[in-house]
Amino acid sequence: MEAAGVRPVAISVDAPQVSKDLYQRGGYAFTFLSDSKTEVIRRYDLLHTGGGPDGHDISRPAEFLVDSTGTVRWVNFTEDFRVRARADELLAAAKAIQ
Amino acid sequence: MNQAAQAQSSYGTRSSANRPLRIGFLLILVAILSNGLFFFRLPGDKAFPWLGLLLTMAGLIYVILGIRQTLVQPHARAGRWILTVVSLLLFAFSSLAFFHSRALPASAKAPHVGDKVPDFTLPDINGQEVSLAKILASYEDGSSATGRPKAAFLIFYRGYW
Repeated sequence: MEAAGVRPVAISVDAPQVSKDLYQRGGYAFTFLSDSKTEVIRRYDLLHTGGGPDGHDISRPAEFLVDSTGTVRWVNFTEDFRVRARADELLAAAKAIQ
Repeated sequence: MNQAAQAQSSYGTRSSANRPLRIGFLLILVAILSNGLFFFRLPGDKAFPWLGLLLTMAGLIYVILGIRQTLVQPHARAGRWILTVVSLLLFAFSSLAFFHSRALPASAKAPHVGDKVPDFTLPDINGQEVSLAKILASYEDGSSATGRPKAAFLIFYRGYW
């Protein structure tokens, strides 16, 4: 993704410490943001009420490729959270951005 | 009667193997195991949930046939009933997994291609506030890339890992 000029940003309700553990364990090179009050999740209409293990509100899975003007260039909205976005589709969309 | 003959006669009334039950059990087991395929992100994986559902339903049909067979056999062993119960439990689990994975909100008002998304600011793993505008302006996480990113890839995920 770096080679394609794409900066990945992972967003969930997980608190910074939880994401930090994930980041350190997984050796991820990208930015993790914490939306514990689901403010951004709601703004993007991604709220999954009671979807978390204890009935917590969480985000539904969704990915957006946003260019430097803030315009959405590619969206992935799965109907089944087991099916996740594939890198080749994403990179093709990223290549299409000038 | 010697021991071999005695052993033979106790098996004499044994009913033949309940093939439909075994097939049903295996189909449902394969359906559950097929969830492992999602980790590999294979082409065409959008079809996998339906494949799993199909295997699960086919498995149920065979299990029901197996139950019918068991009911008409006079000396069904306890093992057969255990396998039946296990199969039905696995069926319930597999069905629930299918519906649970798809019980996602409609999200009709989520940004579509071409929409402009508003800026936002959220804390990162160190508790520092980071804005989308800042993310689009530079690379920061110790990556070796230089200049400005072409795009940000926002990955909203369920969390609770």
